Amino acid sequence: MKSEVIEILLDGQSICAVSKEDAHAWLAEESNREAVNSVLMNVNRTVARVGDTYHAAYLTLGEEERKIAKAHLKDAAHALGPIVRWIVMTQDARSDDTPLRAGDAIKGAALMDAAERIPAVREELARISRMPFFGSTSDAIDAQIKQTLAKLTKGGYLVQPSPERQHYLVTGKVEYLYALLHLIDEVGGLSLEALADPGPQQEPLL
Amino acid sequence: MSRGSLHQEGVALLSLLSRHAETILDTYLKGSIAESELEPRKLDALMRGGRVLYRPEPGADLRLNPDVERMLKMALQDERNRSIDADTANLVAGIKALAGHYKESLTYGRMEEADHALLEIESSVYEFKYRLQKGIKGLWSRINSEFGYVTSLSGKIRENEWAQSQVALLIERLGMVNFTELWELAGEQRDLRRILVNTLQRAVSECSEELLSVQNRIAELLGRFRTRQRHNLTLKGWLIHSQRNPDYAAAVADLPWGKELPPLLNVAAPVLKPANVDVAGFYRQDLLDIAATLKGAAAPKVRKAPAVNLPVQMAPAQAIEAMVDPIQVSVEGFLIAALDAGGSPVSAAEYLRDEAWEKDCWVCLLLIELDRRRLEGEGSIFVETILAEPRTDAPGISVVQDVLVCASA
Repeated sequence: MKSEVIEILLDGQSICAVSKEDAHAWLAEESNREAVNSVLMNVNRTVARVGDTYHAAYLTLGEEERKIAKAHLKDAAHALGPIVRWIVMTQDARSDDTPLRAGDAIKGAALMDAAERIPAVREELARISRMPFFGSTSDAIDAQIKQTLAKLTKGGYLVQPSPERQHYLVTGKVEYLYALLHLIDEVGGLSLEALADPGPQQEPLL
Repeated sequence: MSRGSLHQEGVALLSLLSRHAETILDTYLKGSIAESELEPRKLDALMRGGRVLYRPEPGADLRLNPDVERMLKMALQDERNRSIDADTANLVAGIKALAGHYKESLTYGRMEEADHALLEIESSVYEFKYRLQKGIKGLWSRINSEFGYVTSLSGKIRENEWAQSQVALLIERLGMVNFTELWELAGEQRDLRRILVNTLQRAVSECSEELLSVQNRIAELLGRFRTRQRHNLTLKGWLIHSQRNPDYAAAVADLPWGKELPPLLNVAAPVLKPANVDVAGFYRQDLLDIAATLKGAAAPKVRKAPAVNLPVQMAPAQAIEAMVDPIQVSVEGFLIAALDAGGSPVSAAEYLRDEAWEKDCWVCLLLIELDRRRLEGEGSIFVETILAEPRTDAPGISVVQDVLVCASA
């Protein structure tokens, strides 16, 4: 298991209970993490944990590493818009205000059904799937759903347990996205929560 | 009312309920029923004495008698049954009175009355225990379904807070039962002691303990709901913000992140190129050995396939990759044939008839190749069906006869 875990981490993938169940359980043992760290330190890397998901981070951040981390941030920020819109769309499809969590199931058929039933979901799906991040050119709902799900799977946000079925599971990477959003919110001073929920409106005076 | 007439009355009530089960359940689920929906005779039977249906106020629709409704809620384990009835003060007061009767009856030798009082004490303790346990079970099921009967997060948070106040009240009330007092009350009466001290005290301490873990779980759940609500608002806030400032995402990297980057942003770049099983190289013999074991005792007739350098023009760095194993080329040729067939299945056995390869080895490589493509996300193009036949001389082992491959794209 040790070499598999090291390979996954060095490949830049993250390890959560959904995407890599065995590796995740193995890494939960502190002694195993230490064993991995003692190998990773040779390439200036260490196991980092966000929420319940592990990834490889730099042990020491030099100028070069900072540059790479910034480039990674740039990519992540670029993907934020399309993915956040997609997450909110799935909430609307479920008529629910609970954001996706690791382990949630996404079924192609359920999205299809919602898109056919709810015009707002259908229109948003059409807009989102055409964004360069998803890059669909199709007018068919079915193809748009397939394309968005395939891209999210490729990005590590979803896993598809069986290639024959349009049935996906949300990975822990979504928790990273939330953490990143909160961080941007904090550092950028955006007050995003207040923006979405201005709180009780003041009663107009007469 | 004598025992006999109580029995008669009870049987009449239960058969009334069963005769009108449909109407009663409809009313239970809808909350009320209009008088006009019922035939006069039925109406009369159900409303007599307000036993089953009653009118809460003049002009209102009919409702189920609260006792009947409670009975249904308890019996059906309806999640909507959220109230927990555990009035300890009332219970203790009732027990005190009954214990008084019991001891007095014993003193004067009125054994039947004493028995009756003891029975009453026993049933009130059992009922109390039952209600408490049922209430706690209900709480667990509400917790486990994450208050599934309400959809919105704010609704869940409200339900959670209410459950929390209920649990706190219950714990407080259970804590108020004074066992020293009950101990003294029981005195030397062995039966009374058994009920009050053994049964009641044990029930109260077990339930208190369980309520504490319920309380912890509820608090944990509330924290989770609040986190989700925070995520939800942040997501929506980000959408609004990006709509107003479309270029913001591109400038995120230039925010004042400080000299020490926040740990969240410390993500190392990948250092590995994707690796695949090298079917043509070092492990080939291992793969062939596996194929050999599949065949059983007979040794595989493996032909040594000489590596050839295909005559293609390539940059020198890529030239190494062009050392292709001919058997691999044959497998790929088959896949191309499957693509050309445009969705209709192509048989590997048939294809092999024109090829000189040893079947088992070739099929093994084909399956590895399909696996590799699937791992690389190209798998959706090909769907294979494996036709295998069990070996009569080796139970549990099947030998692949043919593989049908169909290009789905």
